[in-house]
Amino acid sequence: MPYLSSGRHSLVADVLLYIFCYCDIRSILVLSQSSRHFHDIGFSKQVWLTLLSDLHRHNCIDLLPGQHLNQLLPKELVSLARRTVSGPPSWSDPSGTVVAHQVVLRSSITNPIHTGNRCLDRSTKLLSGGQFVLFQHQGTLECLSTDSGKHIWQYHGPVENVTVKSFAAEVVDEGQAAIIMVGVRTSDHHKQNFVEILRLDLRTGSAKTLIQERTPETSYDNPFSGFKICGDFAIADVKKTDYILIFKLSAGLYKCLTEPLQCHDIDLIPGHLLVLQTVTVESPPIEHAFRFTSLPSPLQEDLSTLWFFFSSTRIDVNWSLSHKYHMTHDRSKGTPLSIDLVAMYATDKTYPPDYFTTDALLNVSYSGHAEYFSRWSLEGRILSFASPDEDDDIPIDLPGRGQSAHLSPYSGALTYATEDDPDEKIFVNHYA
Amino acid sequence: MVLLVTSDNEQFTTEKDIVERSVLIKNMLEDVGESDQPIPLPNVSSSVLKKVLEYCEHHRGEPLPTADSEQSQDETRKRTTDISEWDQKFITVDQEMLFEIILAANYLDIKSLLDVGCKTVANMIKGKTPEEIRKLFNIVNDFTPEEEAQIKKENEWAEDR
Repeated sequence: MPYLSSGRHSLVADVLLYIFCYCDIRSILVLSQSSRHFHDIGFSKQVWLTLLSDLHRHNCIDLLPGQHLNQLLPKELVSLARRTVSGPPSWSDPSGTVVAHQVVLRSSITNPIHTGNRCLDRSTKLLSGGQFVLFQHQGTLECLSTDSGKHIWQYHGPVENVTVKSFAAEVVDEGQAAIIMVGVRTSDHHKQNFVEILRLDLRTGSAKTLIQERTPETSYDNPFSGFKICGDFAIADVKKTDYILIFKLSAGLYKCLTEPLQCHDIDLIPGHLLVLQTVTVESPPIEHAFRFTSLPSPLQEDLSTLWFFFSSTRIDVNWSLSHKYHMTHDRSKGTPLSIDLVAMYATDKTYPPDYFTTDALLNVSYSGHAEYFSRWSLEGRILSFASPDEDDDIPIDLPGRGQSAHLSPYSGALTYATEDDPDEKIFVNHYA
Repeated sequence: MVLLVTSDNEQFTTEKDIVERSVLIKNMLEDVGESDQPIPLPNVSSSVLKKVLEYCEHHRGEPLPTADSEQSQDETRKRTTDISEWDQKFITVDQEMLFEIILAANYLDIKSLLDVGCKTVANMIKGKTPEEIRKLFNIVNDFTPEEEAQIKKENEWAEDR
C-alpha cells in the first residue's frame, strides 16, 4: 500500500507536515511516538508554531511584552505548551517560585471618587494574551497596556454616580478586542444595580455598548458574583438571591433565571451553563466550602477540565477533597455533554487551614493551582488541588499586595495592585 | 474544453473553469495558451481524477485562494477541523482512496481539497495509540525499546491526569 510513508518521498513529507498541523497536542505526541521520521516532523518548529498560534488565538497563551511566538525555538514552544497544561515548573519545585519577568504599571486615575473600604473594591485581571490589564479601583475600571504602560480606556457607567462592583472579560477577534462585562451599583440612595456588556477595541481604546440592563435590586452592597463570558453568552449570579442572569451577546438578550435551591457556584462552558448544587454527603450534614472552575483544554478540542473542590468548614470535622473531571462537549457532532472523573485527591485536614470564604479561591488555573491569602501569616500561598496539603503549599512573595491577586488560568501569571500606595502600582509577575 | 490524460491512460474532458481549481493545471493552461493538446497527469489514476473532478465541479464558481492570502494564512491558520456537510460526505471513502485524494490534491495544488483530506486524517488520528498510528500509515517502529520509553516519559505531561 503506497500510503503516505513510501514512494514520492519529498512530496509525502509536505503532506505529512500538513496533516500534523491540523492535529491537537495529544495527537502530535502520539504521532511522534510512532517512528523516528514522524518524531522529526512532530517536533519541527512549524508544527508547534501552528499549535501555539492556535492556542494563543484560543486565549490559552500569555506572552511577555515584546515576545513573539515565531521568535521562539521549537524547544521553547514545546515548554510553553507544557506549562500551559502543567503550570509554571517552579511551582512544583520545593525550593520555591521564581519570578521570570515582572511588568510594573501605574494607574493614571489618582483622584479618588470613592471612599470607604477600598481593598474590597480593588481587583486586577491580566487579559489573556498578556498584552493588557484591567484594573478595578476608585469605583471605576480602566484598561492599561503592558507593552507601553499606557492607559487605553476607562469605564463610564450607564448613569451618574455608579461604582463598579464586579467585572469579567474575554479577548476576541485574535486579540484585537475584548468583551467586557461590568456590574455596577449606584452610589445614591436608590442603590440600583446594572450590568453592562461592552466591546472594547484594544487597538483604538474605543468601546461600544452591546447590552445594558438594570438587574434585580439587592440589599447587599456587593451584589454580583460568578461573572463569566464564554463566546456568545455571559452569566452572573446575584448574591443572596435566587437569580442567575444570562446574556446572549449577538442578540442583545437578557434573561433572569431563578436558580435551583442551594446553588453554590455557576460556570459557563461552550454550549452549557453549569450549576453547582449542594448535596448532603454525610448525616448529620457538615457545612462545606465549595469552589469549582472549568477551563477549555489546550490539549484537545471540545474538551474542558473541571476542578471541583470542597472542604469542611466545621472546626471539629476535618477533611477536604478535590476532584478533576473531563467534560466533552462536541457540538459539531451533536453529541451530548459527558463528564468523566479523571482524578480525586483527599486529605483528613481542613484546607486551606484558615479558609472561611470561597472568595479566597477565586481563580483556579487549568493545572489546578490557586493562590490564596493567608490571614494568619499575611502572605500569599500557591496551592495545588492535586496535592491538598498545607505542607505542600508554596509561599509567594507579592510585596505591597492587597488581599486579592489575579491568577491567569493557563500561564499562572499573578497580577495585583499595591494597596495604600499613592502611586497605585500594578504588578504582573510571570513565573519560571 | 480541456482534455486530461491519467496515469492509466484514460481521457477526461472537462471545462476550463472547473479544472482551474487546480493551480498546477491553471498554470499549464496559461503556459500553453489556446491549444487542443491533452494535459498528461502521470501521478493521478482515473478513479482518483474522477473524484477530484467531482469535487471541483461541486465547488465551481467559488473564489480561488490567491497566492497572497495563502502566504499570510499559513502563519495564522486556524486549526479548526470543521468540514462542511457536502465535503464530509464526499470524503467518506475508504482509507486508500482518502490518501490517494490527498496526494492528488497536493500534486494538482488544490488547497481546499488538501485541507479537507488532511483534516479528515487529523480527525482519524484522534484518540489512537502509537501502534494504531503505525497501522494507519503503514510504518514500522524503528525506536529501540529504551528510546520509546524515554519519549513516552517526556510526553507524560500531555496525559493530563
